[in-house]
Amino acid sequence: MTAPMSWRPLVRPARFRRAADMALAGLPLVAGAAAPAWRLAGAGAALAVAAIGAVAVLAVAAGAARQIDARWLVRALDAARPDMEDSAGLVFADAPATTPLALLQRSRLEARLAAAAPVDLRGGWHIGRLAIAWAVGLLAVGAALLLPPGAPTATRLAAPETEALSPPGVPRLVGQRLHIVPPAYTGLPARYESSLDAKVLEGSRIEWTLRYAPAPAAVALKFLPAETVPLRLTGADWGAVRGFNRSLLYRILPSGASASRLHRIDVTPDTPPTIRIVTPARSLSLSKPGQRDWVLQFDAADDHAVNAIGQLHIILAQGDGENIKFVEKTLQLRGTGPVAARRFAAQLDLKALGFAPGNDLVAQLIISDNRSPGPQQGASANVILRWPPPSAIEGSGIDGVVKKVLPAYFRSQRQIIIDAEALVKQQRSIPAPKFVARSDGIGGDQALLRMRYAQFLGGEHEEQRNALPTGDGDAAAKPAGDDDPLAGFGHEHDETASEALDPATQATLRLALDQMWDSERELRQGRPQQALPHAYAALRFIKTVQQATRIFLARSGATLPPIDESRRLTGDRKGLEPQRLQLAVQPGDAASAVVTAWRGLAAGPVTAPLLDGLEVWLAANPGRAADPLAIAAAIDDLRRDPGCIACRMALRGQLWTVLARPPAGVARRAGPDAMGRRYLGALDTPQ
Amino acid sequence: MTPEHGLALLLASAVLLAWARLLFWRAQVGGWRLAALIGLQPVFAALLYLTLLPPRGGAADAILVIATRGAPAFLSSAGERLVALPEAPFRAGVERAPDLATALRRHPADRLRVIGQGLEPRDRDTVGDRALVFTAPPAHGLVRIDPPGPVAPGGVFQLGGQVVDVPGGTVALIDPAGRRVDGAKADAAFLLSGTVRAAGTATFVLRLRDASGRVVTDVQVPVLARATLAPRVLLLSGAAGPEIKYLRRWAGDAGLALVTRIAVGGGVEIGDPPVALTPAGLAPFDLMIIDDRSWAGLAGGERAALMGAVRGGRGLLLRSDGPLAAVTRQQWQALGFGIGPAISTARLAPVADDAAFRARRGDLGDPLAARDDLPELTRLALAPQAGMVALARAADGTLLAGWRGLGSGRIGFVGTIDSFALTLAGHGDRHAEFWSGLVTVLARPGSMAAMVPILPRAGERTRVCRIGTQAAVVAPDGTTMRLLRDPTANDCAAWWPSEAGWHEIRQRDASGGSVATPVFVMAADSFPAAQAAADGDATAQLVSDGTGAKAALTVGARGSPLPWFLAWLVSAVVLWGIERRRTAVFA
Repeated sequence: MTAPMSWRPLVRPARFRRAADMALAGLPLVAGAAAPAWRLAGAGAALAVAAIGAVAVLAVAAGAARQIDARWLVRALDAARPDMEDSAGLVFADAPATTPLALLQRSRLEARLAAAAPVDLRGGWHIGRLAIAWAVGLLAVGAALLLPPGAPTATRLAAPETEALSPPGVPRLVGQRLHIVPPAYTGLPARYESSLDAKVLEGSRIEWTLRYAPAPAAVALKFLPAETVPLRLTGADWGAVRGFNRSLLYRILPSGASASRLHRIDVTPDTPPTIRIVTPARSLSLSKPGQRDWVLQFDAADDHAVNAIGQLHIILAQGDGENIKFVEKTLQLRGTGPVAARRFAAQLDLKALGFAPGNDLVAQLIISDNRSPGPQQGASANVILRWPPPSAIEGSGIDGVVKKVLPAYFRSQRQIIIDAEALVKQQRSIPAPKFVARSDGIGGDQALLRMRYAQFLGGEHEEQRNALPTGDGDAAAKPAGDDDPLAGFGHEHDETASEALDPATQATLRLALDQMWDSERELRQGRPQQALPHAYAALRFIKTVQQATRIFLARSGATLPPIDESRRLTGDRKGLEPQRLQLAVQPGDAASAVVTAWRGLAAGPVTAPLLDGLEVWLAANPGRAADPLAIAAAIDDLRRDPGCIACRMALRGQLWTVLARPPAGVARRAGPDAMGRRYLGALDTPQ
Repeated sequence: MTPEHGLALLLASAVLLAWARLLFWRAQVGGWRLAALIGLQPVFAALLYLTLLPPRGGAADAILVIATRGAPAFLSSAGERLVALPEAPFRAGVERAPDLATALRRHPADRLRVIGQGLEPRDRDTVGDRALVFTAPPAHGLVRIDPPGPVAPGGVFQLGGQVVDVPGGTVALIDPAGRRVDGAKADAAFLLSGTVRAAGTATFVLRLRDASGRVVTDVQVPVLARATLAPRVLLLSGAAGPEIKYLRRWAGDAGLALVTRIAVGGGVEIGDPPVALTPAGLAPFDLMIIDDRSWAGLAGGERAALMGAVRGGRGLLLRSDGPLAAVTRQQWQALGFGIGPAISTARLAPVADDAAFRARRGDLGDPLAARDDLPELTRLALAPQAGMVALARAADGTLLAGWRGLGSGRIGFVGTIDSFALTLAGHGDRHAEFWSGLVTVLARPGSMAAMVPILPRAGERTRVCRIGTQAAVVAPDGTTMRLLRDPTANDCAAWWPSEAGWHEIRQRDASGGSVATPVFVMAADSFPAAQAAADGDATAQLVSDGTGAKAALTVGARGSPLPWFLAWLVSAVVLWGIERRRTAVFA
């Protein structure tokens, strides 16, 4: 006699399936209830609704799952498996079977159950129900997003700040409210403002609600300088809506009553996104030997949201000197992190980009924010990866460019030594005339090299030497001809080369040239063996020059008028005469309307022409005032109450920021009085 | 001969006359009556004297306690009489007097004890030779400010002051737009500076905060930017150069009348039409700026004319473009400047912080210039010397320029060689300030303006001197009051301003036009610590023990003549009775 078989493991999958089915249908409904609550009553209410809904859904799902019990299993097994022979109830009966037949049947069924694969008893998904529930939930969430966000004060009007006394019968403002709806892309909630001044985001809409007692015939909003928005009466309240893209001043004009003071709507513009370069740390980095990729990281931040896709512009500069080729490429990067501060990262494969020695790789990230319409773009600074070329130029100082190493042709003195040594080795194997000819050829190379080096001394070195002993010097050394009279009086300087070296280096180079001369002389005479010590010495000096030298190359400076060579140093002063210097005085704004107003406001009652002139000047000089609205408001205050001293001082304070500071002048000191003069005179009298 | 002596002489001679009459004309009377008549005559005369001139009161030795503004609440000790002046806090049961003179008339005293912060200007003259005891109460807060004098438009002004006993406090100078332009620690004396814009009056605010940032005092600081007749300057240079170029640029923009002569060698000059360096040729100029090369090239007569012009009141500024030749250096050292041969560098002091830097420059300054990237200026060393006054200093305090007087004029030396580097580095305003400071001090003074009071207070007597005829003062509300000039007292006049703010003193100038001089009057209750300190200082100077005034001790008020009159009447009746009786007997 065995205990009845446990039914629970057999129904567990079915129970899960039914609970999941119910929960999946319930969740969108919960979300659909929570979203309007969040929109209307805030996040707390939404959380509460969601929690209650979730508990309810879980309870329903659990209840539905619990309906799957032993009887359900028996029915399901009987229905699903013919070999159960409608007697599965015997296996899972609560009461143990007593009859032998029942016992027998039960043991047969148990054997069959154990032998056969378990039957999938899970019910199907209720597709229709799920679809309906999800549709309803999504609709509810969508509707909630479109709903205007609510606030507890939505229905109440605030009392005006100043309870101005007005005679009975004249309309008086008794209630006011601003409803400010920021642009949708910001994701900010709308809010209510009890004051008539507000600070709003660019693109916001503002709805006025004003209440008057008694009700005036009409109410309008007058925006400076010239725009009128009439208010519509709904119920007891006057209302109007206007969008704002720039800061404005306005006043309320109820008919039959005096206009209000100026109110100010300050518009905060949406700032473009900013990018900070995280990696690399410096804008110019040199590639390390064996570097295969370049890691870039940027932090992008915006006041609302950064677009997740950024463009990485890559420019590969190939080539040297004037022959540079640019290859441009753009990569799409996807940002990670929160919407307002995303991080963009890229790993550039240098080989794939074709990065080679002497190349520059420049990268710049460009991103945009989610402003609509007109997303704003932000670009990072350029970061440069440089594969240093064999010789690098470093810039420093203001009057020159420092070139750190000498040009490559300083190296070929070694080649002359190699050639000469090779010739010495071959001396016995080649005939003497050929030997002398080859030696002369090497001497010619040595001469060319010497002349190239001599450029760095401005050619001065050439004249200090006599003609070659053999008399077969190159043509450049020919004496000055008659067609060049100036050549007899001076020598030409090669500006760029001769002044490029400091005196110590010039001296070393001069020693090298001397050695080259000697080396050349021996080579030309067919004595390479004797030339070698001089060639080695020249090489040694050149090495010193190469290691020590920084060459200064002058930048192009002022172009001076040509010197009249025919009069230079002759003492001829004909035609030279004193010259008048003109000094064009820059007109300040000492006579402008703003200065006049500054002085006029210092004392006495304010006149209308003064303020008119100031307004005209401000309109003509829009860039001068940092806060033109504040000045306009101060002018308006003064117009309404010309005798108000505090308003006058406030406007003067605003004008102080607009006034340009003229160059500091000279105030004459006060002179001594009669006694002071006598004192100074007595001091000056010789004892 | 005082009236007292005259009266005594008169009465004495009357007594002698009476005696003579008794002895010679009435000799028949004898016995005790004659003796009584003779004896009573001097008594009668003395009583008449005392009736007419009663002796001074016996209260001369008493101490009178005067309660002034800020007097503590305490009762005077026994034997001292307490009188409260109008400024003293009201206390029941204390006698009040409208001023000290009234109090002394009511209660003659030769010794005074002043309690509170000190006597008002009104009462100080009344003290006279009396002994006075006064201990100034400890001061606290901002006790003194030295407001700036008139500055040129765009110029820099300096404001000094003193703070006592505000540990950890700070002072800040706030411009009319409410921006901070300078600040300092509020320990003892401080010096702040600011810049002005266009000509006109401006009111800055000096704000003292304590260690916790609470505002202790806000004081309005009046600053007057006034465009005066620009000085005429003669600029002599031995060579053209950037220093001359930017100096001319500044002079032109600042409105100076500049005459330039730049030698370019071979007797050729560029600049303005030549000026003869003779007394007559130099007469129109207020300042001569000369460099070392021009100096070396001066003929003896020209140098004498230059020095003569300086003695006559003009200014002379010596500058150079490099190290001085030995001869020139000796000559300039003989003029009193310890110029060294060495060239070194110096930097001007940067503005305190970035916000102040922007506020001082105005919004149109070079936006790329940074506050503290002032260039290094090359300079000739200048050693401090007795008699030489510093004109400009570098950030580390080394002397950049100095001046000394010669006759009625001034000679200055500026050691900087390349001040133009300031302009090139975007600090043109500092370049202008530097040269403005030099020219302002050295140039010939302008005409003497009206001497206006420094920070007068509403309700106090305010004195203005050197005013012309038909002067009037215009109050902020537009009311005009004529000033009565006293030609015997330095052309001074005085008035009592009734309200605070900018007043204008209008007067006619020589050409008949109207000249207005603004004067700022402080509110009566503003800046009380300074008033307390000023009153305390002035009263402390009156403190004396009264030893120099023994003669004055008896000069108390005279007593009542009534008892003397009665005694005189009695003696007259007795005399009459004796005389009648004698007559009756003989009759």
